[in-house]
Amino acid sequence: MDTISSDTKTVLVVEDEQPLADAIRLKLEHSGFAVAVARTVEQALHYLEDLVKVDAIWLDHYLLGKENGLDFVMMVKGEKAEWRHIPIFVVSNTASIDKVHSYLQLGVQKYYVKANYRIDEIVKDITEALATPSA
Amino acid sequence: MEETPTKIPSFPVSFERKTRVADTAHVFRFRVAEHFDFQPGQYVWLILHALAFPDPRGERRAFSIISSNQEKDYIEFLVRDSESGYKRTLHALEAGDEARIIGPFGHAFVIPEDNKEDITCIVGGVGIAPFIGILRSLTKRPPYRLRILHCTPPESGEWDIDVLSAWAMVLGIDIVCMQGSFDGRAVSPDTPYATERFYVAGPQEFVNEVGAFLDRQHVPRDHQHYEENYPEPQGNLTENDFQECSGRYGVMHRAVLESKVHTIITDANGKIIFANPAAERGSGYTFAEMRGNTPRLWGGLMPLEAYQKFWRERESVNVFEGRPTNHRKNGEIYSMASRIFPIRNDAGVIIGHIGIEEELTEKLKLVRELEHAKARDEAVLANVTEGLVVVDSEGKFIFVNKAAKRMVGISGEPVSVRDWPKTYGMYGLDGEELIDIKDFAPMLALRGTVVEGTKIRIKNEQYPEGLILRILASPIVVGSGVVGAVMTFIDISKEQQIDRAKSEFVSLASHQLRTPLSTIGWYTEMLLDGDAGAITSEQRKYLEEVYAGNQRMVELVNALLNVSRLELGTFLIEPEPTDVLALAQSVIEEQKPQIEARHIRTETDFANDLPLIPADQKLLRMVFQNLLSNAVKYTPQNGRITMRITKHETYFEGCITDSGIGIPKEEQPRIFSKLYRATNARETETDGTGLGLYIVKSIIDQSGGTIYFGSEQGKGTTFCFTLPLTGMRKKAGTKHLDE
Repeated sequence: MDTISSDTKTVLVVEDEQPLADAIRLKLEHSGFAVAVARTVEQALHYLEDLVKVDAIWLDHYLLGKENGLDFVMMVKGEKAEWRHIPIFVVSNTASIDKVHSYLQLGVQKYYVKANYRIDEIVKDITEALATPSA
Repeated sequence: MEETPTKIPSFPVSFERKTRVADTAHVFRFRVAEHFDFQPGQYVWLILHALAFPDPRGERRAFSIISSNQEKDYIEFLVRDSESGYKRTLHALEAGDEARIIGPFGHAFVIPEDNKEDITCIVGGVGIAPFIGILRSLTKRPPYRLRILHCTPPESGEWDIDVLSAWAMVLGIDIVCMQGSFDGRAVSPDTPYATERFYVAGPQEFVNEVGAFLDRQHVPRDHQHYEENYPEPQGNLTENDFQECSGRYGVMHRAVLESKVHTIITDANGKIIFANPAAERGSGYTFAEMRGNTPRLWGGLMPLEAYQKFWRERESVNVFEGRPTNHRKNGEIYSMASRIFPIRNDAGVIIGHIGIEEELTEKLKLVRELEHAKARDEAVLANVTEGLVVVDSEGKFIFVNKAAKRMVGISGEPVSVRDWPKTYGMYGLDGEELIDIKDFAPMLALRGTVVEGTKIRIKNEQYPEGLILRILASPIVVGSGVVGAVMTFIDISKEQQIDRAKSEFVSLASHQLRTPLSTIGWYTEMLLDGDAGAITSEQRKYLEEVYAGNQRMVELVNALLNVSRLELGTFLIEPEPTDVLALAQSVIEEQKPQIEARHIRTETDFANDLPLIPADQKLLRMVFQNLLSNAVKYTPQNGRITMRITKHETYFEGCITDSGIGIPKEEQPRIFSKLYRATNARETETDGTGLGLYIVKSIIDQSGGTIYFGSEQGKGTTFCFTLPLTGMRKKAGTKHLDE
């Protein structure tokens, strides 16, 4: 990881597809973010605990291991107060309406169907969301 | 089911010869083609083919059989001479002339096999006939004493004694012949009359005399056997009496004449003195033919007990009811419901009978056929694999087959239809309570609606995890009213499992297909953005091709997945109030980049009074998107596209007209087919899945709308669709399109 300067934002990417995780990391770093990549919910939680700060989460639904993205969101929103405010961007190829509703109800920022979006569009949204000071 | 006989058999006979046995009597012998079975003492009707001489009583008469019942080749009758047309025809027969006999009938003079009592036959004239038959049929001496007292009134002339003796001598039967009227002294004075049976036959006057004598000797009535000629009762209705009575009540007489019910009036002995036209029609005999006969003309088919019962009971009952089987003149057998009423004189003595008979043949035949059909249908329905339940208009069970009992758990207990969900554990597909009982399929059927398929989950003892059933319900309508409902329960658990598996597969496939496409797409984007370093313009060109190809794949995968859902029928339609115009406008906005890139002019013509329409926004958007993007894709530079939305009485119409390449006439029929692209479209624009119109049509069809188009190659195309103002039909399903 590059040196973190105080105003470099950190994005936690939770994605188990290696090539996709790489692409996302590259794009985010290119856009000036610091990136940590987790492939399971467990890994992601460890990062949350270990890292000084996480500013945004890029989350896929299907992950390695037993738990999926929904489980992760429920934990993030429930566990610690400082985690609750982290904006979560769900980027998945599953587009089940039920799942989308569930994510939105739990309070994620936005839900994207991977194949229908350009990667730079999603990165742009993350940048904008972090530019506005959170309430 | 065995067929009941519909005609009594008649047997052909041919005249052989006649022999005189007395001044006024002959024996007629006929050859029989097949052995004719009868009991000694019985009679047949001898039916001549045609009458050479007219006779109002017709061409048939009853004769006792005087030949032995062991004779195989011939049959003989004792015939008293007379001037009737029948008798004259009979006498005019030549050897070989054909006739018919029907029978045998009559039980009166049949001596029971186990008889032990002495029998004395007191007979006059040709009344001896049945007993001759009895004699000649004997194969050994009977265990009882049998004697025949034959009286021949002087006017009948001499009887050939030798012939008679010949008949009797074989077995030592006494025959005593007397000239003149009956004299009781001929009946041995030391005979214990009480134990002796008397068979009496002969002319009516003779029968009366003998009957009176026997009564005086205190012979019990059940030891006196008569055929149709009973001792004349003190009072008797005669034809004249009858005419007189009915003359006074002309109205009643008319009513009887016009009635469809057979009405016969007889005297005390059963001789017919009146028959209405219905009886004539039903029996086949005219009244003239019936006169002098008793109803045995069409009877004789019932067992002895039936007739005995009548003669026994008639004294004591006011009406005798029965279900006799009779035969018409043409031999046809028919069933009657009969009621016989005695007519009594002032002293209370029976002087006649009224017989009212209703034909049941048709009714009985129908009943039998219905029962047969019912039994057959029930057997079929009982064993069908689908559950079948029939309820009456109040919802009570009329029929429940085995499968329904097993699936639904219906026992014999009556359960009102509205209580079925509670009693049998019926829920919605996902286990939710069926809230609105009014919409429960069987309730709808009872109100006259045909329900083609509601899916329910049933949880009961047999199926604790739940069985998925599809219910089809239909009202049973007779005339204009609902008299009940039929429900079919189909076990679709397996079907559901398969559908679910297919849906899961499609979902999984969508995920698996899209992931590598995302990878290709994003890396290409990043290359194009220069994230991996600057690229040459040539590299850019190549990468753009890669990217375009990838985008086409993404579109294709999306479209194929939608098609799968459409075909599985598992997609949802969730209507909500929609501003159609706003939606159409936003679709146009979305495609503005492509429209402007081709310098296409767009115009809109929107109705200003279109209300909010219940529509699934996703699906309606897809319809507009597809139609508009087609218009854009196939309209050359500087073309024009018009979108028109109009309101009609029961529907609204959306039309998109372009000035594009049009669809060639020969390819128009296939334009809605899956993966079909017209040749000119393929030449113009390599992009295109060929699935767009198929998807649009499926959505419109499933939503209750219509879609159509008009096109001319080189000029342009207009695609229109309509949807009811009541909106898209809500459709249950498991997934949305585009998931």
